[in-house]
Amino acid sequence: MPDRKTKLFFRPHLWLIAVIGVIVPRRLRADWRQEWEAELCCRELLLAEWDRLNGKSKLDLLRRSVGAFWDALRLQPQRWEDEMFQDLRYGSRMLLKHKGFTIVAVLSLALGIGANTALFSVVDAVLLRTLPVAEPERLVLFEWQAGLAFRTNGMSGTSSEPPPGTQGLSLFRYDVFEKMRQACAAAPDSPLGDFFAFAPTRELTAVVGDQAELVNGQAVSGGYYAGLRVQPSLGRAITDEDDRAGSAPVVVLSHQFWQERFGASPAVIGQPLKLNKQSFTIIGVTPPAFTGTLQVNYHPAVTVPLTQEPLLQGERTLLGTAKEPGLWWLDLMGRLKPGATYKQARDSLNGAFRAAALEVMPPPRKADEPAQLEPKDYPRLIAESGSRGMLDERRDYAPTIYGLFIVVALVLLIACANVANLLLARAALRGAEISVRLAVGAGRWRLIRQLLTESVLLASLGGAVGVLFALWGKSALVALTDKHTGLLPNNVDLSLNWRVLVFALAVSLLTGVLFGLAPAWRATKQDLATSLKQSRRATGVVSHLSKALIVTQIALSLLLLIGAGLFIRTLYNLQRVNLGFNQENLLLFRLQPQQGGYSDERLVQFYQQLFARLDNLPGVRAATFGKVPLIANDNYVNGILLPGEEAMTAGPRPTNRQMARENYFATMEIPLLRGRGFTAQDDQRAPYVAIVNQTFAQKYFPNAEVLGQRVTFRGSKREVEIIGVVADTKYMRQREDLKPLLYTPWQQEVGVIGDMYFALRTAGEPTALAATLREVVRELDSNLPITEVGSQGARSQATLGQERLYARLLSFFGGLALLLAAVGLSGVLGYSVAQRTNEIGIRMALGAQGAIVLRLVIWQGMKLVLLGLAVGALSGYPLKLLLASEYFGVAALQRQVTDQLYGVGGTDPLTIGVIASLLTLVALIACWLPARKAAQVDPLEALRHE
Amino acid sequence: MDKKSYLSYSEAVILQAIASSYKYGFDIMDITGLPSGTVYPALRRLEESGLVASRWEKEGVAQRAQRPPRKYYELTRVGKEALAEALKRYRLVDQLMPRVPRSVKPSTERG
Repeated sequence: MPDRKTKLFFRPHLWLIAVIGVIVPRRLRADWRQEWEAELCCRELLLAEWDRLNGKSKLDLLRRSVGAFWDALRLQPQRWEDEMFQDLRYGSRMLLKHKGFTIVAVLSLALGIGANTALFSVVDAVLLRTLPVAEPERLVLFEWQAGLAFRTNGMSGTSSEPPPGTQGLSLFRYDVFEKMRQACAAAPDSPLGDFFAFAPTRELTAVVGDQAELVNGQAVSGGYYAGLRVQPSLGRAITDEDDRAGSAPVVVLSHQFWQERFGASPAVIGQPLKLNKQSFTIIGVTPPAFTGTLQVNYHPAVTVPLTQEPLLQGERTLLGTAKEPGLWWLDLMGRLKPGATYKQARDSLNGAFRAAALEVMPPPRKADEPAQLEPKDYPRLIAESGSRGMLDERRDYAPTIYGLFIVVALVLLIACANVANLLLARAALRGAEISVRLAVGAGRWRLIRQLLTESVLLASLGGAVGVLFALWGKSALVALTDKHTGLLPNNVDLSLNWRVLVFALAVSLLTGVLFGLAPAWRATKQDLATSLKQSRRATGVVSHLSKALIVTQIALSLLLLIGAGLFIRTLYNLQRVNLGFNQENLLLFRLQPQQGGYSDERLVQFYQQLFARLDNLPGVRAATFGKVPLIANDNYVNGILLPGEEAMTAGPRPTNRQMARENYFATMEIPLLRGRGFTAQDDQRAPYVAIVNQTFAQKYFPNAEVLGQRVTFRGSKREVEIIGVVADTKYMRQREDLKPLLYTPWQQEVGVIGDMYFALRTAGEPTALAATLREVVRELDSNLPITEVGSQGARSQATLGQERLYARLLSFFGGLALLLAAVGLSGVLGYSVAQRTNEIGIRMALGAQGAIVLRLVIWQGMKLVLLGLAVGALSGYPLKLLLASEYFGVAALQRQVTDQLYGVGGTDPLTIGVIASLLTLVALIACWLPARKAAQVDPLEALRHE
Repeated sequence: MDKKSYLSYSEAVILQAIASSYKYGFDIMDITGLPSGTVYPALRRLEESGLVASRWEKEGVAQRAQRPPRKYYELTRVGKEALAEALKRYRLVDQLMPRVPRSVKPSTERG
């Protein structure tokens, strides 16, 4: 047999096999090469000697050996499987061996990943999730924008803020919608297959059995369900037939309402349902997943055809009547035909919209308003994706959600830094193992991959526990979705779905690589000779990277804790604001008799009968009511004209209003400063009178006697005489500046008092009276629901919900960050001490006292802590600038956060000082633990290791 | 035997070749006309799923020919069943090759 080497050299096909064999998994390589070589050699022999082979045969052999490449490629997955399996087995063994390290690392990662996952479920629910309808991406949502000169006659509903210098709404008038619908139907080549409108109604009183309750409702045009492709799970949907004038009133129930109030009985179809005292026939129930297309936290329980809306609202209809034009209140949506674009949809309707909007534009109300608009101010239609339903509130929530995301991402970063640090310290201890493995021929990449497998394994464990935390943390998040905090929408479905789980998985893998890469890189970058010689007698010097990580952790903790401190002080200040009235022992509740059909004389009589009972209720010292609840984020504002002012030229003078019973001031304990209070005689037949607060008197009549002055309401042109001045009170919320406030007696406001907030001054605990109260109202009218029952104290606290939430969240995450940083600091110092046992032993043998060693180690850690504090304090300012910069586009968020503070500056030295001291104290404890261990080193024991 | 239904045409042809005593990779290529980039990966797949088994030929045979021992493939019981099943679907496969090879004639036309 000729020398194999020369054989190989002259035979390119064998040479190829040798080369390709390199990529075959080692375990299989020998067999693989032999099989191919044997086949090729055998074929060669059959074809007689190589030298005598003709070109064609040679080419054939070569071609066949090239085929070996595909064969080798086919075996690749086995190679990865093998090595990965090995890595995983080795990794889990290492993790099991160091249980303490594993638990700390997994828990800190789980907290970080869990918080991120929980918050992502909110992002998913509010910002990402599409409607549960067929092909939601083909739904198109319409809005409009116009120059400031364009005039509307008023809106009702939710719409986001338009860009500065423009005005715009996501709302439309009914007559404008009709014109657009006609244009859409008339164009045979319209890009829209469907075009429909929907809008929330005001709260409706629904009577089921003998129980009255307030429910959310919506009115939709006939094409709504067909356009969305929503099939009712029971009965039928509303159609164009139902939406014609004169059709019988019908209603579709939401799945939830049907389940809760009708026990999911299929017999409801065809039954009547009383809404605002009008009878509607139930025709269908929507599928469980479909909760409507309105704003993110508005889920209508009942849906009626648009043309039935006047039946529900009477004179207050938004649809428009012969006398009064309708308001801008409808949301418009369409469904694109296949292949059509948003732009085509916009262009097809823009002309009809502009013409209709200009046609209904009211005449000028002020002298400087032009009768005719310039083209640049014309209203323009905007079309965008309707796949998620209405967007306005989603957009409003976005900055808050992203703000929270920054916080939880910081916590995750701290957790990563922590684990990276522990890994770095451990890698130093594993130095010997790694040098041995490098020395016996392990490739560096191979080792890095193995170390990374360990960290990804760690992160995956963290992710798995994190998802459990997220499940638990979601209920905490739901608690944050309180109606009053407004921080997150309530009523959103936060279930874990595949998107959330994919997110958790991605975050886990990413963090695994993030905190594992640096330690792995460092651990394998070794000078073999020295590290083998030194064995585990490392110098105990903490690496720069470790130091930097600790400094970062301390700095981030400081920032979060300062935030928490500022919000705690804000909350403290706000809870002690002088409200101007006594909020102790005050029970509030709301009644809306207008929905029970009361108006005018009957309404006044109803209230008189009710007060006759309430006034004499045992435990009630006084009973009163007002239109606007105090410190409840609610308001009622009118423009007024001072004596001698003209509507066309005067400034707007927005003035807060309150319509109240004559004993309002006495009951709320608001002092009357001058003039007289209201009496029961200030009724419809008496001259119109008003009482103002001090701010009103000072602002509008700085140099004149305010008593006896007459002011006029802009809207109604009604004139009232000021008969008294009362002390200032806070109106909407604790943090507002005092504003002009004008009170009028309730009997002179019969048109607006169909919906009132009652206040009872009680002798004892206010909420104890709630049951009696319901009884009293039920005796008068059993169909009238009582809502929002609670003490004024609770109501005021609820108004501070957002501040409290910020304080709690930042305290929680700040505390968590500090805990993680302390664990990291302690761990790193602990490893350093362990490595320095020799050195410490020598020092002590040479006479160093325990106290000196203690100080030595503590100072080693505290140097880093102090540096971290400095970095944190200094980075606060650039961070603020960075967040506010256009690049991040979270200026709104930053403004929001700064606006949240009250009675304390963003750089309050007291807060920063207290927080820095707290942090230093915790860090000292973290340093003291390993330092004590160092001080207890027995010199004899330590040196024996030499 | 779920695997039977997943046999591709080329796999069926390869099984049939082995059943007809074309046991070595290159012989299978010759008789089926399939390129090595198809035959070998298919053999690995069939081996993994237990339809064929491989053995090394006797050392003595190879030494006499002055080359390393070749690897040859055999049908397992499962493989035979799978082939029978596949032949029902690919009726032509059965007629594609002579049942017993007398001598292997290297093809220089196809690779």
